Amino acid sequence: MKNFEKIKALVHKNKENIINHWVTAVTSNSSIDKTREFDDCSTILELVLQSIEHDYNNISASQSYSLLEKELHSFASFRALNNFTPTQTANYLLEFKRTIYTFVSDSAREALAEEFIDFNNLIDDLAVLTFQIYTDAREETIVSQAYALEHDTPIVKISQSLLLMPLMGIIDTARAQKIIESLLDAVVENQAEIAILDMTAVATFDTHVANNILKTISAAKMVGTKVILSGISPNAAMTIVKLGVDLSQVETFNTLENAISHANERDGLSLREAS
Amino acid sequence: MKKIPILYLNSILIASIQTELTDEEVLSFQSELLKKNNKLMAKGVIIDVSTLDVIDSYMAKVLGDLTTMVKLQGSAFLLCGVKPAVSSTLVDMGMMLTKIDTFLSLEKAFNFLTSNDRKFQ
Repeated sequence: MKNFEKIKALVHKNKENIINHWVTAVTSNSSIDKTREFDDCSTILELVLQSIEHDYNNISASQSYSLLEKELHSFASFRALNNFTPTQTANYLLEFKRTIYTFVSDSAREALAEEFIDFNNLIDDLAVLTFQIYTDAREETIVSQAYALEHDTPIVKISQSLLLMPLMGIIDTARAQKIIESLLDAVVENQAEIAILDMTAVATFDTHVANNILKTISAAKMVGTKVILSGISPNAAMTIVKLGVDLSQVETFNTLENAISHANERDGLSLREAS
Repeated sequence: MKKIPILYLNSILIASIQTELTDEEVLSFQSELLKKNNKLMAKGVIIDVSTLDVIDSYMAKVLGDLTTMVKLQGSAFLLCGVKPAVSSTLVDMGMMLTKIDTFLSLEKAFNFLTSNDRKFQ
């Protein structure tokens, strides 16, 4: 029969002190909100206490242990999503162990040794579990960000021969490549004669962005589509001129509305010509 | 040596390059096209590359040259059906075929020439 009678008694006796000590230890070298940590520590301590009511060998089957797992789950995911470092997260439960050790008096050390081995293993398991959850949550974030990056270049079909591609955020080389590819594919698939690149939401405009946009325009021209730009902000206009980027070959419009009506006019002309 | 058929329709010359050509084949195609255009005095020449997966730098140069040559003969030169991948590769290589009038499909290129026709009549 393996149980944790002595550790339980020890923790019960020093509960307040252990929690305070623990919170201080985990918040010592960071600017984490103490009240939140205090709540987390108390909950976990409480659940660990409930779990060690059970015999060591069937702890993992007990209900309080699954409650503990659940709590660690939300605890670790929260940490992963709020930019806590891996060290901070992993140290959390290890710090708990260390804290309890400090409350063991020298004379009791001998008597507690056997219980502590099992307790140690239990907490280690919990620490590993916590870290696993933390990594899983991180992984999930990365996957969803990759998805967002993949799908952040929507293409809207406005009419038979007109496509709109609103550009957003920062356009680096990887994204520019993505933009070129998806625009060209869409243009050929829809047989669109005109594509509008709307730059209203482009955050920064530098030589790289300008070059990438020029590339997109030439590539589109080569498959037979005319690209027009709309929504270049005053700042972007100034940068373009300062950088000496030549956009004279490209038709530009102040608003998306004007670009669309111009495109429609052209469209009407070419339809009339064709019939 | 592969020979590319050059068709004559509504006073427009149409040729479709469907597979990659060697440098000699490209040159013989070029001279044949120019001879035919000289004989038939076409309104325009349309080159279709819609099944071509690769346009190398030499091919790109020849197409650029052809534009100038055909224009010197007094005809229009149109390219159609450039694949997206081909286009982005050419841009990455810095070969901008900006002198060439490009169209999405043979139909669009053909319509462009015939409607231009109507305007001049």
